[in-house]
Amino acid sequence: MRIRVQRGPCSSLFVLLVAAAATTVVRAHSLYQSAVMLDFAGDELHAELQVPLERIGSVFGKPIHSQTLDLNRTSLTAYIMCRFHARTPDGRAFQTRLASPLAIAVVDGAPYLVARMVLDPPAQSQAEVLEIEDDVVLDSMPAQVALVSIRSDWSTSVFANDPQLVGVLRGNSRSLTIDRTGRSWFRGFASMFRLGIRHIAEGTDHLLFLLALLLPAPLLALGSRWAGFAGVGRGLLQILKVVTAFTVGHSITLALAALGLVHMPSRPIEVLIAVSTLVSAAHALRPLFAGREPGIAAFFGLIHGLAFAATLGELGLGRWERVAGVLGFNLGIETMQLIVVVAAMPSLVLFSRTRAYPVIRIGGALFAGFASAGWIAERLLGVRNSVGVVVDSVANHAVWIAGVLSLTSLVCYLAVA
Amino acid sequence: MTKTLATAAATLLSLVAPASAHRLDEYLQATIISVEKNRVQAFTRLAPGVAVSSLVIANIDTNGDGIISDTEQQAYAERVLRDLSFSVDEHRLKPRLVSVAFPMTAEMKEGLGEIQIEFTADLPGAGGSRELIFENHHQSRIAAYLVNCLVPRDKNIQITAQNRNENQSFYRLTYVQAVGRPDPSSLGLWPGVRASLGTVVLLLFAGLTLIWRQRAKHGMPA
Repeated sequence: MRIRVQRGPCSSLFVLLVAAAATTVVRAHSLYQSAVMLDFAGDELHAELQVPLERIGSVFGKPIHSQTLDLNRTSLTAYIMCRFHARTPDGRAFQTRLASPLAIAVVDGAPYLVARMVLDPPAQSQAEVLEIEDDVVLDSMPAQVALVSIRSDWSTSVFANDPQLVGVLRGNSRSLTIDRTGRSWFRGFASMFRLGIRHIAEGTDHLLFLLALLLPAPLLALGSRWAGFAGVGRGLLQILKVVTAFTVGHSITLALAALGLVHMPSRPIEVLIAVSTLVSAAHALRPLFAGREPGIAAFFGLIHGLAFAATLGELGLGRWERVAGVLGFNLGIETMQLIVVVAAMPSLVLFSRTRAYPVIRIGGALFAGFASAGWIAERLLGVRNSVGVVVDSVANHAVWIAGVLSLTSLVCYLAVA
Repeated sequence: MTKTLATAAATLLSLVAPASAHRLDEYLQATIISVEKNRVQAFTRLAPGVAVSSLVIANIDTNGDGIISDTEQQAYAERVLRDLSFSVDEHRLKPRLVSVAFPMTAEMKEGLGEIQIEFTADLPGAGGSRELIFENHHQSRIAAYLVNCLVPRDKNIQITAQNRNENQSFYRLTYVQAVGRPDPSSLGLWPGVRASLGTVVLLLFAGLTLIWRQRAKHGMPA
């Protein structure tokens, strides 16, 4: 850290002056690197240039900070616009304009000058292959480094939650070719589909809710307890109803929230999801809403959908991409859900015809109850616990557990058949 | 009065002073790795914080004359290289220096300069799924490591995963090096999981179908 202290003439104001001076020159120990973040939306290209204030101040020979930005705005804008370009491979320049006035932002703990630009490709050209040229600070300081990243590009499946570092500009290498050939709308869609699959595969709370709700599906409720097997046809129909109702519920809120029509803070949603698992676990122990499982699944599905939408919200999608994103993401969710149900259903049906089923049902319900209680404590009260670790380690062996349960169910069934 | 001023100063500082991203008593070492068909390139930037700069300078300026000569630069870069390790598919690579750039000693003392070292290593020829491991143990007592990877320019190379340990002294990059152009729309996901899950489900449905058929044959209810 380097602190330049401007000493005031009046000793009584010394402390304040030290503080005031420090606020403008205290520096984080950063690498002082510049960054270029590119966002592609169709044929539109947006670029965000981030330059360390310390570096741009050195180039200008005077400190640039929030108090002096307005005074230097015109010259800074001209300086940047002259030094940042995009071109087609045949040398035609993109039209560059500022999307918003220059601003100062803290990036990675250090103050940066941020220029947000729109780059319009020349006529009859698409931003498929382009060359980015950045001389901002780099032409004055050979040791300066600018990292170029694609922050979002649907057609090459890059999203804002995971920007892709594509190049380093420095010294005499101050231009970079961005090659997006092979881009297609389907790549973004496929990524959304994969994201939906992964979200369910790794989202143990969603899975546990559904599985706990399916545990008593092949059974008949007799008063306040679960009685025997309800029959294959009835059991399968019940499972189908529960899964369909959950799907309808979460699809509605996923679409509404992802399209910006509904806003809900994530914390209460996460708590309610844990509550939904607790409720379905309790129902698996004792029938609480026998025969009305599809309604409960649909109701809690509405809540789970809001959580799914939060995942999409982190991706920085444009309006139309968001519509396609909801579709692809939801298809991925349904596919993974279907895989889980198809993998679990035979075991449930077979087990439910044996005397071993109460052990499986009660064991499963207690595990889901334990997990949901831990999540509620963590999400509602901030009590950190190892429930997540336990559930994740079980989930990591889900395929083997499913396999063992399937074979055990078959053995148990054949033993009683 | 002094107390009031001190409080005002503290308030002013807390409102406007930027949070420090990296501690000033750390030796920040950021490496960017780039994988190509036959070689791997790396660009390491080493930035000593002002509190440790004299220690780092003393390590570089071995004759203590206050000037970092070309020989000292080269010797230090070689030392950094010895503290790094690169391996691909369990084959240890031998990195070679490509370029070295040092800032002025005065800049380093102020915590502003960064040393830039670029190196490369040849890759043993192979395709398919590959695993690159990079380890950095240079000045580990004061170091803060960062590692990242550029998206390969070669479209036949696709990064599949990046893993780091907590302090990023260990970095594992897994990638697929295709012989032909990869299918960008491939939905490949956990091939092992898919296979085992599929087998289990198929076996069960086969079993269930058999049981139901037998029961139907004997006129037993489902």
